[in-house]
Amino acid sequence: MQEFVKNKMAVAASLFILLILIAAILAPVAATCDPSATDSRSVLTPPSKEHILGTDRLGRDIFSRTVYGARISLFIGFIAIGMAVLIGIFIGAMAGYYGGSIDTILMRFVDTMLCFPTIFLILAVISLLGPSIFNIMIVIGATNWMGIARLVRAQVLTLKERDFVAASKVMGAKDSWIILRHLIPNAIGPVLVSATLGIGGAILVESALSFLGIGVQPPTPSWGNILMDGRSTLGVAWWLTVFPGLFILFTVLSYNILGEALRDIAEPRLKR
Amino acid sequence: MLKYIIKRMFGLIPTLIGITLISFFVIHLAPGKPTDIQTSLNPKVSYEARLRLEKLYGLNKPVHVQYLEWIERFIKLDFGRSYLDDRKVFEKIAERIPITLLINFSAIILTLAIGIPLGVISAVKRRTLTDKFTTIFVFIGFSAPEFWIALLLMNLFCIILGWLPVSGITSLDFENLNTLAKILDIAKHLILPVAISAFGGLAIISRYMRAEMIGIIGQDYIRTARAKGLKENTVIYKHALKNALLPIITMLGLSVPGLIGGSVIFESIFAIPGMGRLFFESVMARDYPVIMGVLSIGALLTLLGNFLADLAYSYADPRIRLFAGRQE
Repeated sequence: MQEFVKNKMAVAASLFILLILIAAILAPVAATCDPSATDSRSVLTPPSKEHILGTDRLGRDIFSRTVYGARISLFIGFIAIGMAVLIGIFIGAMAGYYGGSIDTILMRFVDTMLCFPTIFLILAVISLLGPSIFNIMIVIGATNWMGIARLVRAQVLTLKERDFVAASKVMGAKDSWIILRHLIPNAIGPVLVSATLGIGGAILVESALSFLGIGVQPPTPSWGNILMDGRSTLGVAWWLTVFPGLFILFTVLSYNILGEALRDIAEPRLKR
Repeated sequence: MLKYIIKRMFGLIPTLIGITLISFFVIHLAPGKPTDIQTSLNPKVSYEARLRLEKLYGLNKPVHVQYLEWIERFIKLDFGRSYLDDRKVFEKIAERIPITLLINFSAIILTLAIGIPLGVISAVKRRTLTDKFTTIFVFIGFSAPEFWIALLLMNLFCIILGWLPVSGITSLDFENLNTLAKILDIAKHLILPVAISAFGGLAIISRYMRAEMIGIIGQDYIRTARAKGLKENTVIYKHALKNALLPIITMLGLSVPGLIGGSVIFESIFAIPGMGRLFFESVMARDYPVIMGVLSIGALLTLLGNFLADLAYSYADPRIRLFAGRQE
């Protein structure tokens, strides 16, 4: 913990993440305007006192849309990665604990999934099932668990040889007890690192899907579609493209810096 | 070595079967039938015509029969015909692959050319301002939406400054140019996509290189080299760097799917007629044979990339071969 506080970048990143989280949760309070209120008198106005990040081509306040967009984008990131963590832990623990043919089959499945460019799978499934927020979360989760599964498996493989696991077994503990009580809690460190880095990745995927037109559908604001909305007016209204992009950049950057800092703590031998 | 190669090749078979299974079943997750797009949008198509279409594409058979038939043709690289223009899927993909490979290959070279030195410098000057600055720089590349950077740079270089062409891979007068001018023309069109793609991949290579170098600098043989009185530069660039470069080979193999996936974005934004764009177009049109074709060929390319990286690694580091043999 001390080490973490010494890492100024990591502290700054955590504060920024916290700030965005609070803004997202308190969106109705934090936003200065109704995010979908149009105003024909102030269309494409540059940043001003009234609209600190300017307005879009319908006169909507970009700051308020960004704050509400944070809700959607972070929600997608958290749920998708939460799902990836659950799948990854389940598959990794099964493969590591039971070994043998279960291990072989599950790890072959992981290898196979890793061969597909993630965005190809996501695109195919989203375009077939439709771009709802629910589908987007599920698909991002379902295509990002493989790294976590490998991590958990590796951890479980070493942990299950340890004395406390043997002791538990001798005392007649069931497999499910050993896995849930002894193995998973001890394997969770690297998983958290991976999940933190994954949230940044999920936010980027959501924005990329918006770019391709199959992300969160307007009028619901997400960081990705606010950014894409500004694309056609980039030449005359830079603020529409620049600000939402900066929000994505700083948020993802913060999650990545935080993830790296956590990794330094979880794996001290790699002290960088 | 040959024994190792053959052994590894057999190891690929289950993954290969997995790839075909996933490519096939992803498509069949979808509600509705592939023929819907040709028929339900067009009220003139009768029920009989629809049945005929379904029969033509084998959609009236049970799923597992469809899968086996698809595999049978897959082995012969026959992915059927596109619903859109009735051309052979393999032909459509084959003509799109070179440009995608060209962009990705150039991006990899550029990433290595910048990422390796950055990683080494970061490691040697650990915890200095230089290290912090490079870290933030590569992290920005890793954290920014690539299409956002592309939009901004495109606006700057192509519209405001007018230095580079906006989109496509060739200019209108391409046919009339001589060979050298043709190459220059393509290069000019590809500068931005390649540079942005490389910027995005920089963090992975340079951070990996940095960690690897830091680990190696602490090793005994480096201390020995220093104790022998070798110059610091010789120690770093000859003894340490050589060993740190090895794992980068594996990293390259692992980065293939990300690069191929990234081409969907780049090729859309810069209007480049590559595999990524073909995939996006066929996904939008529900052109199932093409979707399945690109999905499986994309995965096959990744498998091939990993396999080659694996061989290169075991060639460069004999320990891998020896231990792989000993385990069994």
